[in-house]
Amino acid sequence: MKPVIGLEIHIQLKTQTKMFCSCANAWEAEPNSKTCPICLGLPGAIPTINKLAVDLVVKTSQALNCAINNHSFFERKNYFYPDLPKGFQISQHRKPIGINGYLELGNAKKINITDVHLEEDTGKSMHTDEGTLLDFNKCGIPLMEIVSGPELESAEEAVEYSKKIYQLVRWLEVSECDMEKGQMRLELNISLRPEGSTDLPSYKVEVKNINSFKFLKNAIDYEIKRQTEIFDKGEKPTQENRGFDDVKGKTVSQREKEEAHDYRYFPEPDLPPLRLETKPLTEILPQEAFKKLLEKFKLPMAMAEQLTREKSVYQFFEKLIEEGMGPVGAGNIIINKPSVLQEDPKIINQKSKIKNQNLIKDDTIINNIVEKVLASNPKVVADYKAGKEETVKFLMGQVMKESKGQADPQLASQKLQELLKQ
Amino acid sequence: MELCDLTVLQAKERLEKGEITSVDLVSSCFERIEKVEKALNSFILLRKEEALGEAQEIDKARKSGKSLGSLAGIPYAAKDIFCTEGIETTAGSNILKGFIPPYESTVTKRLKEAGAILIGKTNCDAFAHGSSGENSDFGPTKNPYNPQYVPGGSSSGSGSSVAAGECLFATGTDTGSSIRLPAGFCNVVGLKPTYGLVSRYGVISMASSLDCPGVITRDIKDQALVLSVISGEDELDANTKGAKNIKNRGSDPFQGSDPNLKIGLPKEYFAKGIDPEVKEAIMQAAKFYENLGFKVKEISLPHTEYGVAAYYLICHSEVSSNLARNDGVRFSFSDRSGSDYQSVYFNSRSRGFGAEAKRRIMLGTYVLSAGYYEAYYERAARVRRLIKEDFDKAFDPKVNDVDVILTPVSPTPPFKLGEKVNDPLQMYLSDILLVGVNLSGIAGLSVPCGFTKSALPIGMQLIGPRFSDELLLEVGYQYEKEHQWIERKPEL
Amino acid sequence: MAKLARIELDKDEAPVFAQQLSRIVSYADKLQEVDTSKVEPLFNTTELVDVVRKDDQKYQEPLGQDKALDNAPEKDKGYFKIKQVL
Repeated sequence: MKPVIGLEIHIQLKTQTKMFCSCANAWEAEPNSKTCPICLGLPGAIPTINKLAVDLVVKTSQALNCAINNHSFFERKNYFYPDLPKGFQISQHRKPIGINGYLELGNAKKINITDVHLEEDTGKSMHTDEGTLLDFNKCGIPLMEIVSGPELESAEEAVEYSKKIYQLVRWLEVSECDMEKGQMRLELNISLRPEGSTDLPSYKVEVKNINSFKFLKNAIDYEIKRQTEIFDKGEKPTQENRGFDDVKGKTVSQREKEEAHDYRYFPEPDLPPLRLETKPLTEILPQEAFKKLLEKFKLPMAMAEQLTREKSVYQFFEKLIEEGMGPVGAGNIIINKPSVLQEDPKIINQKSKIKNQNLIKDDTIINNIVEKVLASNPKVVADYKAGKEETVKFLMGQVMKESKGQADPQLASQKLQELLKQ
Repeated sequence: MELCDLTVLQAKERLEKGEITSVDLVSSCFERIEKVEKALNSFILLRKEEALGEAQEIDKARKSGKSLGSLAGIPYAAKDIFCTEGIETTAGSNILKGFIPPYESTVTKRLKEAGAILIGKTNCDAFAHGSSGENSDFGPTKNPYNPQYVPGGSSSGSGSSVAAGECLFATGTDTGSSIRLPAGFCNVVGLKPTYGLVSRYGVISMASSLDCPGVITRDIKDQALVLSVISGEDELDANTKGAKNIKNRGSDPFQGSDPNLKIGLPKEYFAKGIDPEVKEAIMQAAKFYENLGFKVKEISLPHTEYGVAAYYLICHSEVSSNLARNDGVRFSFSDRSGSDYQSVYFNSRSRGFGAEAKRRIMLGTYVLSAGYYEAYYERAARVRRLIKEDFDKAFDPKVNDVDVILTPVSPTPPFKLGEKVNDPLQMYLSDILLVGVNLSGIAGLSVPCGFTKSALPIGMQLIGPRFSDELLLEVGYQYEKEHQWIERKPEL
Repeated sequence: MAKLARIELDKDEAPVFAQQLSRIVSYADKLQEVDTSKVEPLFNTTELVDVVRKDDQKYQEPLGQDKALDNAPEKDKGYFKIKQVL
């Protein structure tokens, strides 16, 4: 049996005010102090749309290769829960902002993005022995939901997908995605189907409450095991919602009071529909930046990966290149001394030039150093050849150590790549 | 005539001349209230001391020459569906008994800023469900012209209090009838403004795409004055974007309508079932306009018969969603006798809501539920467009080419309390005359146009396209200035 | 349906409700008479589009904790409180 996995990722947007009112989108504050009649759902209060939130979702949708619904609009998702003050959540259903996009994994596999839509967050409920305490500061914070198709087939793929979403959303400055603060939340849909089958399974298990990549992997591993055991008994797992208990490392059934949710979606009458005019994205995306580092600057993959984790890092790299630094040298400086981002690129370049003049550039010498390092580290070389490309960093470090920091990093790196290919 | 029977403009003039004080006005209203309120039950809440205090402040400010708002010192009442900060607001329902809004609706805020003095909250059908005034959890309101009869609803207390002289004007809301019908039944003036002209922020929602806040006044000049204060774009209500506020014409308004105006009489609105006295009164009004130089002609609004169906399917759905927030968790009536949180919902809502509210919520839930959305709610929305297009064609110079449409406000005069109009055809007709205007988002003005032989008021309705509110006031004024029905006060 | 709406009807309220329910069904049936195939649904009569507010514009002040909790049937140290949620 193979897993069939889809992910729904909820992301709180980086705005100053909430989605439908001008209360502050604040993290820590006295309970219920960042509330108004609108986000408290008091009688008579009606919403207004935060333009920035819409723009951020449009930007993300475009970055995920989605088609944009120019006539997108909001709808009411009706259900009862104490942390949902209006008794409905303003969300999207029939015409979400972005649809039919995709995200490419490292192995070039495309994961479909079914839709990217915009909604409001609910309040926070804390369960105590005497009852439930409710704080509505969080209620109404703009929430972007990215829904993937069921193309993920393993915990590794799921984690990679989530990490790429994390990277992309942070890169675009759409959210900080701080998972400890609940700014990015993962919801897992998982079922099993026989090897070779391409039909969608007739059931799916939803697991909520996952707030780290590690827990995502744990939850998936647990579910695969749990569902496999059920199949082995000749039965079929029930379609249900489960929660992830990170302490026990297992998923737990949540006996919902309501059977199937009938959300009774209808267009939100208080809000006229949107008219989205989309201009093409001008900023470079992490995947494009990564490609550029590999192809144009010929950087090793591990270095390219590190330099494209954060946009600020990549932008600083580009600044150093503008100053005339060699790409490998620039890359190394950034990686070895992250605080360098605070410094002036001109000065860095000058310092580096000075250092450069004393560098060993002789091909024979460098060749000898590299050969020596490779010979002394057979296991690492074997690992590299087996696919563990990050090990090149270690080898590079050894080369620099061996040369007492004097080897020209660009030439040394090239030589290393060359000899490793043999 | 007592001070409390003055129009707003008359009172304003005397205040500005120094002939009377605001305290005089407020006191006069409360004297009248003392006399008649027991019989009428127009109010859920009265605030005599506070109102007198505010009146004193305004009088003081006026004496010291401070510049004052355009309604300074005028006593008014607000339908208890407008959230008034620090003042109990119930929407006529037990579930909101004790609810003290921590914020002010835009309408009452603008009135406050203009210096108007709130003397109380008027009774209404609970959550505005109803068109007779009998559905309030706080007892029915009576018609001042005959307390055995209904005042019309849902802004029942607003209609009766203005007619009875308990205040000089009152705010109301109209979702399917609720300003026009009480105005028509109580011999006063009520405009259902264009949808989106007046802000709904702070108005307890019934059906969000249909609700229109407005006012009930003694005459049309007062309508213009008060509307000039409350209408116009509000950044807190997205549907008011671009709405310009109505101009206050002052005491010399309406230069005189263009005599080339055309009035349409939709044949579907004069179908069988209309009370002959009502029909006669409307036809007299039509004749009056003809004599003025207007052209009167018959038109057709072919989808009229589907209006009631479309209205209720849409209205109940939106209502069911809007009332979901009354869950006993964050405010007022809360029954916590059960053992778990679900019971808080069930018990609070089942015991707090009145029967009619409960039924409408459940019906709305049904209409929206899975499997029914397309056939019910969405289909009703399509028919809604057809109804609106009927009106568009009526007003289109290339099609039916009328400027204003004239109809009765109700097929019958006011009916007796508890009578619940027995003739299903008349019940249906009474909705039909009014809901098409709400479905289309256009404007409808109710103007007094006579009395029955049994001394019950009859109202006529003038309908115009979106943002024709000022035109309707003009046309209505042409009639009103030659017919002083307002002079015929109720015998209390 | 009562469960979805979180409402219970008393015994005497039920017959009127049944009547109203059948009327609603008849309304829906009546609308079937109309050919709506060429017409789009009308949800908002204003025909407004794209009404948005700027993120950094404050339209009103927050209520503050006290005012927010003012009407709460039960509260505790700044929170709204209700019975245990399972």
